[in-house]
Amino acid sequence: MNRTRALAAAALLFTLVACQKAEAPPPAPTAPATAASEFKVLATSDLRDAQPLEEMVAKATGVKLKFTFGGTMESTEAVLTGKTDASAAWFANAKYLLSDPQGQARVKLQEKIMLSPIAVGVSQSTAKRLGWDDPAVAAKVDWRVITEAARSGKLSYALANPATSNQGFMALMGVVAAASNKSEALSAEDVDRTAIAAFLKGYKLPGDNSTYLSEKFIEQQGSTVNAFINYESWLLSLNNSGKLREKLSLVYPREGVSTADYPFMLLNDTRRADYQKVVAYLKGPEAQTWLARQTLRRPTNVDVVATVADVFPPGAMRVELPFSPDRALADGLIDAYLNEFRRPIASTFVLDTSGSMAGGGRRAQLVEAMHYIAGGDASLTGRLAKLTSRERVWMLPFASSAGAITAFEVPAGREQVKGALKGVQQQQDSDAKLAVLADVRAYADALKMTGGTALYDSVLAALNHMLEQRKKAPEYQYSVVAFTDGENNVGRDLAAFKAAYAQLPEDVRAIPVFMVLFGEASEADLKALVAVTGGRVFDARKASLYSVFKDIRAYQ
Amino acid sequence: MLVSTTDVRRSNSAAMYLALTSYAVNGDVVTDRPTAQAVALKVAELFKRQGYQENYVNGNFDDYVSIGIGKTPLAFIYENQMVQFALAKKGVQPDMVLIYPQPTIVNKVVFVSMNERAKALGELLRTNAELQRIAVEYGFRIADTGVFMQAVKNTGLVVEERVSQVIDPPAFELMAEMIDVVAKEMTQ
Repeated sequence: MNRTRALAAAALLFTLVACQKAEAPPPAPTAPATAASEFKVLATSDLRDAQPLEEMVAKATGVKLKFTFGGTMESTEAVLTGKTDASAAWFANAKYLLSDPQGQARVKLQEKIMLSPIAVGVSQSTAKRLGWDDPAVAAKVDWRVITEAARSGKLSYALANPATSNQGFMALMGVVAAASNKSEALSAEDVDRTAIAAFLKGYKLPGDNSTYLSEKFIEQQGSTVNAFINYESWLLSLNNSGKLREKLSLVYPREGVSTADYPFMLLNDTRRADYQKVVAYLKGPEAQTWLARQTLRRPTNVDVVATVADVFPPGAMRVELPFSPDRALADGLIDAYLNEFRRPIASTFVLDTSGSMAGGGRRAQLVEAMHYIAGGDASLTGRLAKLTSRERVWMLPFASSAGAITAFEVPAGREQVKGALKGVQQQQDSDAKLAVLADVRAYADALKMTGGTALYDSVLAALNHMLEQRKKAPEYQYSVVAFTDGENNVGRDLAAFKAAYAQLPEDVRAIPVFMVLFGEASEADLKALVAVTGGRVFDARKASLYSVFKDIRAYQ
Repeated sequence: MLVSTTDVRRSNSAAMYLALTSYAVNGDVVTDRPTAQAVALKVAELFKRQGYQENYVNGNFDDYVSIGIGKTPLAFIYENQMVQFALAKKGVQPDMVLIYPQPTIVNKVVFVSMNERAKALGELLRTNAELQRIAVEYGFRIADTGVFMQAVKNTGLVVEERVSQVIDPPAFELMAEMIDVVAKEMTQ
């Protein structure tokens, strides 16, 4: 970058291809007015622990950094489509964004700030049982060994959603590379479906982001999970937190890890001067040392490496897994994960059809939500929120009492390679699948709003229905999703609901209840309900349908 | 093991790697279209197998410096990138070594003046000792090789005093043709 400044006026003799934008002449200086305004940064959610930088940057440079956090997939889409007003983006990994010509055009400048390889954190007792506590053995553990341990039930792990997160996706890519016996130039045809299925047998704790997964991992370590696949920084932080039942041994798969390199990317060229100030600070010794000591990410500034070496596990060279920019591979893998490999979803949609839903455009919101999940949105995010192949949905409308249940089951996508062991491709919806989606939309269109609101009775009925169904098909992931304006005025009140809930078999707790709230009602009672059942309340007035359903999906 | 380059579709240094490897495969500088296409098809794997390539000039060098041998055991860069690094850091890490391909290509940074004032500036850039010293700071060789060598000597980095065996890249149109072939292969 520095070279650019010195030679801004010079031309390369061999200007064969358009050189990257860093070599373009800097634009005219920005108006002083913008210097005082916020410098918004769209950041991936695993950077949440770096938020104190806002204050540090402001103090050191005067630039008012302001982070907005989101998942990798939605953040990538926001930059690609230009649907963000952020001046810069900061992702753990931006390789998909940057291998897309449109993404390249959005990113004006980029600079890698720090590093964190993805590692497998294994509970020390489990590591011992597997023999991985011996450094010589650990050094030889590759994705194939990890896959076998997962298949045989010895390794059960927490991992962020492979369809929405970089960590989850890169773990799958590691398995694909190991099983195909090559790490270079992977393509969709190389995907060994048996290996993916074996690896996912050990996937016991799904989630949407590292903060949530860390909390749950602390609760469930030793019972449902004994390993956590995540960035080294999060695993080391957990080890240092003192909250774990036992510490994690970090295993770096031998044939290759994927390292997050945290590129800080300028999106808004008029803020170039501020961007450069921020980058200079972030790459300087103060921020690099803070990032290493507080967030346990490795510095890119080589001057800082030696001074913080005590923070990181010593170790031999780690081979980096080449990143395949092949979109067919990525899309095929994500589709296959959602529609074939992941535990299929079964849920009861509790639909508020009371008279109060007729007002304030609430019915329209409910119908819109149904159309969204049963619609044809083929965007990155739409595919995640949509009903997936194999999914089972029961509609339970209610007003003054719980109504009749209607069942829908989404069939498989268009027959791809029946029984094929290798290869994935982006899945086209089959006619049968499209027909079911159309039925769901038609069902929503026909809803009539009249009568009282027996919300708690209906949620209880839905939970009972899910318990029955689970006996018949335990391989599904069950949940209840209620769409309501929240004004319970018929039947059980909250206290009576809690009493009845306490009478249900204890394993009902594995069936979370999600509340999607329309209208003006208070959230307090709904929050009290989900505090008992597990789950979450989403406010459809404040959050986009995508973010609501993506979150529900992540917990399902 | 693969030599890591930047993205050949977007960066000149990777295009120079393509020029050199095409020379090696062809046994001489490529001078006609059919040869350009055939040779590019052959060397495309050198780019394709790298997987994702950085699309800014310092991308692979940044990885070479900060991630090192695990990701980037060999990086194809301009000499000035390494020299600039060595000058700024007053040295290089013990495992960092410059290797000169034989033959290699020398990128001449040419200043094209469009009017009299620019011409004067160009003259200054070429002759002013201070400006030439700044060019060396950025790792560039200048007319006076002695100044360059003396500056680098203090860093411990070993550079070749005279780069011999220099070839020219193929003609502009042929380079563009080869890049197209490689780019097409990379998206398949």
